[in-house]
Amino acid sequence: MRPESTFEELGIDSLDRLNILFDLESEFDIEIDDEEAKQVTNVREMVAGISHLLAAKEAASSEG
Amino acid sequence: MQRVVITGVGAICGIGRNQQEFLAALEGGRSGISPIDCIDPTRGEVRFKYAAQVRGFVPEEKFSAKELAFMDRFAQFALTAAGEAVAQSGIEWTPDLQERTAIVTGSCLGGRAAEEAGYWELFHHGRSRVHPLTIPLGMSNAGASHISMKYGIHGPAYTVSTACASSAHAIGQAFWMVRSGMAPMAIAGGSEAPLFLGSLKAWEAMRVISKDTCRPFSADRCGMILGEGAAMLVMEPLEAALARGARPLAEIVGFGMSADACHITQPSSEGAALAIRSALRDAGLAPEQIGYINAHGTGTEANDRTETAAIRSAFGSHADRLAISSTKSMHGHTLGAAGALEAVASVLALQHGVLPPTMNYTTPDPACDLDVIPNQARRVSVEACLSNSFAFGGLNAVLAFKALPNA
Repeated sequence: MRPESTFEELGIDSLDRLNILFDLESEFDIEIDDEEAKQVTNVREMVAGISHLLAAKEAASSEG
Repeated sequence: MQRVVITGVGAICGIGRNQQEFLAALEGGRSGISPIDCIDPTRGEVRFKYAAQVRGFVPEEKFSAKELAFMDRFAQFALTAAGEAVAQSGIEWTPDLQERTAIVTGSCLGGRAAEEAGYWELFHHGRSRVHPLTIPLGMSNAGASHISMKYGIHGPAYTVSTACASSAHAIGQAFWMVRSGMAPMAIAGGSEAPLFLGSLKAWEAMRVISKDTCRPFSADRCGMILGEGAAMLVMEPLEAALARGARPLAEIVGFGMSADACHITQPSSEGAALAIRSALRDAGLAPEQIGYINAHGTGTEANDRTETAAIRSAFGSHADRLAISSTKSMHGHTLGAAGALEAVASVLALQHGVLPPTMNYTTPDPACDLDVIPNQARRVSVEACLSNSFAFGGLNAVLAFKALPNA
């Protein structure tokens, strides 16, 4: 598996996607929007999206 | 083999509490999709905010306190719709009819809201007991059982649970029982009350629910909208109906079913096409005789594309000459009640010569390029129509109906 590997290449189907989203939300305590999740097609984009959400969460908590 | 007609229908859902209101909304293109207000927000937030709730239904006006104690919301809907259908059919119960009439209902969740109430007490309040009627309230066959008790019907009675195709399978099986002569009459349909927190959370996790509304076959569709309700039909042989002076609304002529045998949630166009072909064959109808299809049309990316491909596969060039619509754009996806509600919509369309629209349609999608009757009902009489129901788990059921002259 490489960062450029697409979910399709990895044999990840729609139901696998749901499981991954569920695990990511649970692991990092974040909420991933359905529509934004649909745009993500490979591992690199997934990592970037999670990093973005984690940074936003960090910013929100330091403000609060 | 006897010809089987529908002599009564009943419906209750987000766009009407009876068939008159339901029909007016279908013809007027009025959507029942609105913000969910039946969930206590202190118990949990749900990411999606819209559903097609039944509004203006006061159970206390329909049932006594004693009756209500034994009925979850889904059973109340079932009895309400059955009451309307039986009243319209004008049937007078005789001992023979009561002994042999069939009752087949469909439900996906049954009265699971009653279970949730008990579990909430167990898990959150440290209670050690749940309500003693949790089982009879929660069982999926409660609707069929209450209908049998209400009318003193002793014939074959059971409940089918095939997710979103439940009540289409129920109607199909009941139709076959009447057609074969096994039952002299049948009450069949489905009911569902899925708007409780645990169920909404489960749908949220499936990530198939739209954030705003349901736009079937439109390029900008973004998922389904849940709905609640019930619909029931009374079926009997044409000759018996005419002999007793009943007024048949439409004829039910075919039923086909199939399994995708492919994926637990992703639909297959070939599985769906197989059920459509099977319904046409059962009905003895040529594809060219079908003028309208009440589509499964959930408004999800996967269903609408796959269903279009299935219709093209089953109908060939005739696919461009028939019209389809998804009434889920108005009453939402009522899961186990969907097949029955859409069967009633189909019967009303044949009877009144008005094809209901697909509402909220904005943008053509090349992958869904059939005539979907966008945004406005169409006054046209068709000879015959289909109602498609395709369930999670790849279980498909298709019903075929034919217009009756002078209905």
